[in-house]
Amino acid sequence: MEIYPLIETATLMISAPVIAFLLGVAYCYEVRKVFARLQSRKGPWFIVPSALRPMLGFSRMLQPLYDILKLLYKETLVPTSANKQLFKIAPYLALISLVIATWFIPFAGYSSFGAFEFSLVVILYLILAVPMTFVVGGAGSSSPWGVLGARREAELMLAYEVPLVIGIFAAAIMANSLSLAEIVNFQKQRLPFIFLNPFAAIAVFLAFVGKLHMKPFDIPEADVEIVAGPITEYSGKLLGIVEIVRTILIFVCAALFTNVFLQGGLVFSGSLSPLFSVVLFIVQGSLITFFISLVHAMNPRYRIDQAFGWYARIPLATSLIALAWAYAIKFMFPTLMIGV
Amino acid sequence: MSELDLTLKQKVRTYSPWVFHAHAGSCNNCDIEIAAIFAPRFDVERLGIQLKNNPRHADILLVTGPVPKQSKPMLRRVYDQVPNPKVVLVVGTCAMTGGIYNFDDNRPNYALAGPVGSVIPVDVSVPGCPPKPEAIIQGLVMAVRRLAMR
Amino acid sequence: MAKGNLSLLKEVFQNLFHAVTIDYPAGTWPGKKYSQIPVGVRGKHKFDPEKCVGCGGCSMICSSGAISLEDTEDERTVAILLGRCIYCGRCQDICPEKALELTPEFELAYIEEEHKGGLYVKNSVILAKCAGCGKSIFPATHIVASKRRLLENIDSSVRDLVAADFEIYRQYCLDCRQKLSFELKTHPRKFY
Repeated sequence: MEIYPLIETATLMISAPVIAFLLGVAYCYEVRKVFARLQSRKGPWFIVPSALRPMLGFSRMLQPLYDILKLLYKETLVPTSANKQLFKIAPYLALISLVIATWFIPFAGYSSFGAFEFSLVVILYLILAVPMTFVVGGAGSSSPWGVLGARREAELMLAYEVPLVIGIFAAAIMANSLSLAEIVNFQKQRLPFIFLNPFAAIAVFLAFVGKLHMKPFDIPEADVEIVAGPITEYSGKLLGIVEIVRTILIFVCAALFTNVFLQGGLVFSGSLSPLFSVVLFIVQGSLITFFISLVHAMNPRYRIDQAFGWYARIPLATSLIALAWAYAIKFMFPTLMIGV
Repeated sequence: MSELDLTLKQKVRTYSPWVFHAHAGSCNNCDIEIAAIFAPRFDVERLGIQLKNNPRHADILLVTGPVPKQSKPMLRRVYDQVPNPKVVLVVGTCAMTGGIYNFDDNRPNYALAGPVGSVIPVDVSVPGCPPKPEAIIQGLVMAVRRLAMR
Repeated sequence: MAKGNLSLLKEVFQNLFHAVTIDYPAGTWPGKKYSQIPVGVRGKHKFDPEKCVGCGGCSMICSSGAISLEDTEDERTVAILLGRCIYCGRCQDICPEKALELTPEFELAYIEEEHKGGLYVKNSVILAKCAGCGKSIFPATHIVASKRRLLENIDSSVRDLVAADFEIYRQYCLDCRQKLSFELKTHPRKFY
């Protein structure tokens, strides 16, 4: 158990959620822009042409932030027959859990509690709060769409959690540690895990497509079938909190993938290496977002039983192969894995 | 409209208006033109407008169609479910005055409850049968400005 | 899932660099007019005030009853309610003097508070007054158009006679023409 220096930890604790939110806004914008461009249309403008600047501003890169602020300024409607405590508390619970999770994720080497011994377990546990609160909020909203969406969300969560946890733990087994900072350090001394255990990378990537509700797995909030699913009855400030949760979640998932499989940006050494590491971390996160958005743009939506069946085949098989691979590599190259 | 003389609240409402399309008995021609403005050719997502299928998530209500008697309570309920501040944009001549289904005010149609203006308060109208998507975009820009003034 | 995606990947990456969005609301370059208006698009109406004779043909044939004709003491107003028009173009086709035209101006959105009662396109024609009894009879442009059509279609041997009589007829209403036909020397008795 280490002793954490007070001021440094406090600064990082305050700035981690803020950075997570801002980068989440950037990644959300990237998802929308890439999604639009792959459909041969222009998404929200990166630089607005000068003829339209009086009307639209200089750049629409902060479009997800404008959406959230607009929602926070709107009136909140609560249905009369809903369970008011559950309905109102659910988005705030998700937000608090994700804010605590951002304290444990190393951002290019800096984090408040990334060096905690079991930070990987804590993060995976806290991220689970997001689909749980969707279920709770949807079921407590006393609307048939909410109940249907809650059931689908619970089933999808069961589907993608297994490959996600097995894949990440395959990497943790090879690194012999459950602390994210040590996993990043392990990769720094050897190769990134995307080369050492590519099966785990594939399984975790496919699980993240489901977690972020990107097509083909945006089943709980299916537009045309059930009107917005668990978040149907939310409006105004509560919907703003839900959107903030989704924004931070995309950063957390991208950062988790980067730290566990892509060495977290710590490839440089030298005087300016912190700056380069931060830039590389952000670029790696945006690369992950690009591929998630590519999958999002190219696929239609699955049915919930098709999604569960698919998750029980390819991602689960890949993650089990990753687990076996981890043990095999550990057995065959003991000096590579342990020591140094 | 310069962006310097808006408060943050007004600016944010101008930059991200969400739209809900309420269908009140139209022949679907205006609905097809509304679907066209979210297509690649006239992409209004550049202006920040998204089509939501839930009135509780929307700012601007797009109404098409002369309102039949059975749809009047539906339209009233949808209007009540949109949180404030809200703007109603009426698309097409059928929604404005009943169009060809209501020959004049002396002989009202047996099936219609009246134009949209008699059911919910209307802010912006776009005439046309159907209006071109560019005309609907112009109407949306006017509605967004009115939203900022609320 | 994978097989369909691989063939789609090529098309999707081509889309990445080729966006088909057109530059509306404003032009992408300053000063450039919007260029995607097809030929023959039917938009706002435009009257030629010198040609309209106030006949009311457009009002009778209008598909949705958007055109109304109203008379006051001095003038007749043709009013087209844009909110009721369906832009079919029948009024343009039937106008005998080709005074009504549907221009390609389709950007007609307006704020309801500023135009209570609807947005109209109006044209007024001055009604000539009877020289005998003083009440208003035909629109002045109608008289000019009638004379032109009459003299075009009539046999050349009687054209001058008809033109001279027309100049007298046009100043009087129907009742005064009947009453004053002997004094005005327009009675057919002059022919036998």
